[in-house]
This record gives sequence, C-alpha cells and structure tokens, in this order.
Amino acid sequence: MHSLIYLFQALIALCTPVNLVLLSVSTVGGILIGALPGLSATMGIALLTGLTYTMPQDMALIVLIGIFVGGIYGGSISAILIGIPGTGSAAATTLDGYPLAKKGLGREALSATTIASFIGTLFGMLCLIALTPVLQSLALKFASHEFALLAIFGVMICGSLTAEGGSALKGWLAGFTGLALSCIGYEELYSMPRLTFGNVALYSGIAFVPAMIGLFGIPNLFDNLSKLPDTQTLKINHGKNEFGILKIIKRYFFNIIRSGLIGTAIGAVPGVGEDVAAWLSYDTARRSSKCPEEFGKGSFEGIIAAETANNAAIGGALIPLLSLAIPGSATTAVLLGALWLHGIRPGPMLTFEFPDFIPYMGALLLLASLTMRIFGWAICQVAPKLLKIPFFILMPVVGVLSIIGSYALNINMFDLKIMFIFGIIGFIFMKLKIPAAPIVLGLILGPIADSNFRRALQASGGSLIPFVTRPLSIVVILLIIFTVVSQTKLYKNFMQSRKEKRY
Amino acid sequence: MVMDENRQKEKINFYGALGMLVFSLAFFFCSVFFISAVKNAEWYSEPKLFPVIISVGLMVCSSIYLCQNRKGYHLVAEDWARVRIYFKGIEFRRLMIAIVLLALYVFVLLGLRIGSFHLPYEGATFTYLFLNMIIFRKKGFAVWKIIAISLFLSVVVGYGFSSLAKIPLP
Repeated sequence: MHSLIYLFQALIALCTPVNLVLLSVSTVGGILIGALPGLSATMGIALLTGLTYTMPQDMALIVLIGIFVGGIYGGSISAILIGIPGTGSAAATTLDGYPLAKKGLGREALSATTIASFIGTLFGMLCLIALTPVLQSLALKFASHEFALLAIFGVMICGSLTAEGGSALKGWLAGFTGLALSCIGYEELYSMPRLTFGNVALYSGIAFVPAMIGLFGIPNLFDNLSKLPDTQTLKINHGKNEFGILKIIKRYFFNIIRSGLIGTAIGAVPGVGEDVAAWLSYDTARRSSKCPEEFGKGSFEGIIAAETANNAAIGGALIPLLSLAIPGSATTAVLLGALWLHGIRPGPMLTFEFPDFIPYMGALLLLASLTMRIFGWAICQVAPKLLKIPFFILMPVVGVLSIIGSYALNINMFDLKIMFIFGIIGFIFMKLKIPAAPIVLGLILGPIADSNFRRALQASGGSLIPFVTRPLSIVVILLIIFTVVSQTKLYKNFMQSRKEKRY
Repeated sequence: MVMDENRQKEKINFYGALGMLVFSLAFFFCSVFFISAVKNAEWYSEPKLFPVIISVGLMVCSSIYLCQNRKGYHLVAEDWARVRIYFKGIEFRRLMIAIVLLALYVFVLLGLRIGSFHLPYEGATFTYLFLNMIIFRKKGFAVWKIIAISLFLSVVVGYGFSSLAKIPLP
C-alpha cells in the first residue's frame, strides 16, 4: 500500500513540462539508438552518462531510464524492417519480424511489438514494485551450479529455433558452434588466452555485436543483392492496421502474461539479461502455440513473446540492481555506474534509506513506457515506408550502417573483419538452412556456462553431485530434460497422435 | 518433384554435416593441443575443459546428423551439372560482386592511406555506395541520381554520426 502511495506521489512529481519533454527526447533518442544496428541501450546509457553528469540527479535518471526503455524497444524496428536486430535483445524478434515484413505486414508487426514492449515494460514495472522482496531472495539462491545449468538450458532451447520446423539437431549444432566460438580469447578463471594463435586482437574474444550484425545483417545484404531487381518482393500492406492494444491483449493474453513473467524472472537473475529472456520466451511461445509451424515464417505470437519478455526484463533487471547492487544485465551494469556517478548507492540499504526510491523508478518506467508507446506508434506509421526504397539503394545503406554499428562499440577495425567473416558464415548457414540465431545465443551463454561450470566444480572438488542435489539445480535439470525430450521426433509424434485422437 | 527436392535437401544436409564434423574435429584437436595448462590447477578447472566438452558435443551432434542424412553422400552427374549451372549463373555472379564490394570497403577503402593522402570516411562510403548502386541498379535508373544519392547519403551518414551523434567512424 505504501508503495502505491509512493508511486502516485512520484508520478505527480514527475509530471512537469520540463520532465516530460526531457523524457520524450531521451526515449526517442533511445528508440533511434536501439534501431541502429550495433548501437544498443547499453551504449546509449554509457554515452549519456558523461553528458548527464552536470544535470540534477532526478533529471539524469529521467534521461537514463528513457534511453534504457527506448533502446530495448528500438531494436525491434530494424529487426522487423531490414532483418538486422538493432540490439541483441531483438535478435529473437528478427526470426518472425522480418518474414512478416516480407509478407507486407511490417506495419502490423511494428504495431504489435510496440504494444508488446509497452505491456512488457508495465509488467516489469509492476513486478519491480510488488515482487522485489520475493524475487530478491530467489535470485540470491542462484549459485554457479544453477548459472551453468541455466546456460546449458539456453543452448538446449536452440533446437526449437530452427527455421521451417527443421531438425532440432541443426539448432543444437549451431548452438554448440556459438559456444565453441565463445571459447576464443581470455577465459575468466585464470585469464589464460585460448585459441588465439598469438593474434592479440583475439585476446578479448569474438565481440558479440559485430558477430551478431554479421550473422543477421550481411547474409540478407548478400542474398538481396544477388537476386535480380525484378524478383525482389518486399511490399507494404496498405490496408487498415488491425492491431489495437485491446485486440492484442485479448488475442494473446496468456502469451503476454507468460512472456512478462519469463522476462521479469530472467531479468532478475543477475548477469543473464534481456537477450536470454527474449529467446526463452520465444521458445516457450513456440512450444505452447497452436500453430508452431508458423514460427520462423512470420508469427505474431513469436514477436509478441520476444518483445514482451525483453521489455519486462528491464523491470526484472532493476530488482537485483536496486536491492542488491548486482546488475541483472549488461545494460543495468552500465546503469549501476551511472547511478553511482549521480550519488545513488543501490544495495540492501537503499530501501531503508529511501523507501520511495523503487516506486520512483517504477513511476519513471511507467512514464517512459507511455512515451515509448506514443512515439512508437508514430514511428510505426512512417518507418515501413523504408521498404518502398529499391533494394539496390537500401541494401548498400544497410551495409554502411552495419559497419558503423560493428565499429562504434569498441572502436576497433578488427571488429569489421569479424563482422565480414561472420557475414560469410551466416550466408553459408542460411543456404544450408542452419539457423544463425543459436550461434548468437551460444556466444552470449558461452562465458557464463564456462566460468560457472568450472567454478561449481572447484567448489565441490570436482564432484558433479551438487548439480543433482541442489533444489534449484534439480528444477533446471528437469527443464533441460524436458526441453531435449520435447524436441525429439518420438515426443512430437506422440503429441501429434494425442491431438488427432482428441479431434 | 518432391522426391527430387528431398534428395537435394539430404545432399545439402549431408555435406553440411560433414563440414561441421570436420570443424568439430579441428576444434577438438586445437582445444587439446593448443590451450596451455595452468600450473597446479586441477583437471576440472583447466581452461581446456570447457572447449573439449563443447567439441565433443559438436562431434556427437554432427555425427548423428551425418548418419541421419547418410543417403545424401552420393553425387551423380546431374548434381555436378546443377552445381556448374549455379556457379555460371547470374545470381552467383551478383553474389560474388556483393561480397567483393563489401570486402573492398572493409579491408581496403576504410582507413586507406596512400603516402600522405588519407581517404576520408565519406570518400570510402561514397565509393562503396556508388559501386553497389551502379552495378545492381534497375535498368533505366539514371546515373546522375545514383551519384546524387550516394553523395547525399555518405555526407549525411558521416556528418550525422561523427559530428552530431559524436559516434566514432572507422
């Protein structure tokens, strides 16, 4: 009850013209940063931390949260329109968003993701206020064993990320390839370089952003330019956009609630983040869908699941950040630095010293999501017109933007080479119909799995027994077993025969 | 027709799986022999532990996949003819041009220095955009329009990112 009162007080305090203008500008800025391939919310917050240094604390918070919310949503715009996820958290959205744009449903897809992101942020915000004590204690119980198993679980879901309902093995193959590539560079336990072959540029490992841009953007560029101009088929549906917020909620109610819960819970697990939340939610939506065959070919369920989850993860990631000073994701890690810079010390004492701070952040999230909804709607009307531009003009521009995105994060020419090589690998995988998405997931999860697995073994003196005796580990192991079994032909045939019997 | 498509798929899958198996063997070999051991470290905390496990996982997956598509190993004259037609086709030529142009932009044009001359970002980008648009353009699309679009875009991207957004450019 106190939280609600604080929330309303914060909302009233925040609703001044100056604050609202500042929030609008920063949210739109975040959307643009997120929409540009390679420029993420993490980078936006990092860039703006310095610029907000001279601002008063409350204004700086408005700018940072606006960038955060806008940035996570913005990634879906380029994912849908040009098939390149603007941010890592939008990679799952590409799988169905781009096929939808190819079918002429780009505007509808953008509408759906705007609404899903809006609801997801609200969901995360509510959880931040209501569930902080519960999730705080659960997240604290995660040790190396659970982190390692969670990463393995992440790779196992790769089986269902295969395009066109292909074999789960293709997804696992790609997932393992991503894990293998993540081994390159310094490992975390002893800081020993691995598989660098003396190349100093490889010591810091394969940068995730250029690899992601290479895998998603460059194969599209090659594929579209190799086709003759007359055979290119991207079109725009000129009919009425049937997606209103109420229709989306009505049609995908359970999907939204489930994705919101997954997003918040995964966001609250320290170090996992929005990217994994989106993938996990996408996979769960696919499994529980009545039309799983549509996933990968242009499913609204898929993009709604991914976007609700990655935005809900914002609120989730703020839970351990504010209550334990442990960032839930890469973006919140940067945000932690920004908060410190502005004299805010997150941690267990924060709620005692400033009991109204978490509701204040909730109010900020609420206003930022409203701003995002309004400007996102405006962008939905204009952005699909991009698809009218002939491919021989649009695709080279995509190439130029991909290169800026790959370079800007580390300011390293080597990252451009990584992008190019991954572009070729991505193109070969595309032709072999092996999905590229699991490679990205493997690259993200590799270091988490590696360091936590060895740390867990160190803690138990090399024994694997704690993996099967810790209650949370058992839950994750059961999830892994179910994930693997549910992707086998035997299970699929069994489910099919059950369905046939029912009807 | 469907039979033929399935056979084609099997062949593609077989050779894809074979490539992955070779990669996993190479990765296993590199993990075992090229990752240095840490003094006094137990086997379970060795840096090579995880790569070795991953390479075994890759090997198992690619072997199963290879076995599943084992019928695809046999290449007949018809397959070779199909490959030849693809390599001689216009699509392959356009693909090669797109790859070469991107490689030229990434490896040569960006940051190009000849003596004291340094090609600015805008110059490299203009060249890349112009070459792409002129080669891949629709029939009848005017050259002056391509020059204008390339020039406009390279200046806007260069100025917008470096001067306005303060984002470093290659």
